[in-house]
Amino acid sequence: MARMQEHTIPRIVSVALIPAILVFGFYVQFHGEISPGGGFQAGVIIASAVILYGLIFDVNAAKQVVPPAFCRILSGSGVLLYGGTGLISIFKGGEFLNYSLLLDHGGQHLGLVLIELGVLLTVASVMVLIFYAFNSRNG
Amino acid sequence: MIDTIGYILIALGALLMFISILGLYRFPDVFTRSHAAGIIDTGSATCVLIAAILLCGFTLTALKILLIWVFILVTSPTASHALLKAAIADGMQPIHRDESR
Repeated sequence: MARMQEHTIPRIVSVALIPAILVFGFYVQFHGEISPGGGFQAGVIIASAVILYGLIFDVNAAKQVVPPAFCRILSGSGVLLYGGTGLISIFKGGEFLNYSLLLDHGGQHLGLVLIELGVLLTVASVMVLIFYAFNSRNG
Repeated sequence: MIDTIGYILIALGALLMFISILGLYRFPDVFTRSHAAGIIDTGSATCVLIAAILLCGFTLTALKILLIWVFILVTSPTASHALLKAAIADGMQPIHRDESR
């Protein structure tokens, strides 16, 4: 990984682009209900920013920013959020993921935002975890 | 008038794309091929995106297309650079004129 120090141009471009990638990821996330995109795409984009940071700088530096334990907690809580949203609508007397029952009105919107948030958390953290797992294979 | 310039730019972009794909198939090694592929990244994308800006007028969409253009202009040469640096690290040598004849 010490060889990475000589790759000047990718380093400079990455330093300039990683914040923009993160902002674009959140843009895709928060406009997920009204435009193309959504939780999965936003999660992949945000994870790609972390992966790019880990590729250009050291993986250990990326692990300091986003620790693997944090990723594991996040991936589980994303599934919990998704399933929990579905179960709440069951407990309110409807089908699984029937958003209309969450609130008196505006329930569809709230349900969609919660689902997308759950997908975002799981996808982003699992992508980063896969990257960490591949990286730790050959020592 | 602006629409005409836009259509001319789209045609120019298509022409550049054709030239670049021709080069991608006909050139001998990875360096010249990547040079040909770089025409799509910068020249053709610039023509088509500028034409799209001209055709959609002064709107928010034009600003988004402008941002896409800026990012393509920054990232594509970086990707080509990284690819060719990997090729050199893998032991590839550029073909010189006297060697290929």
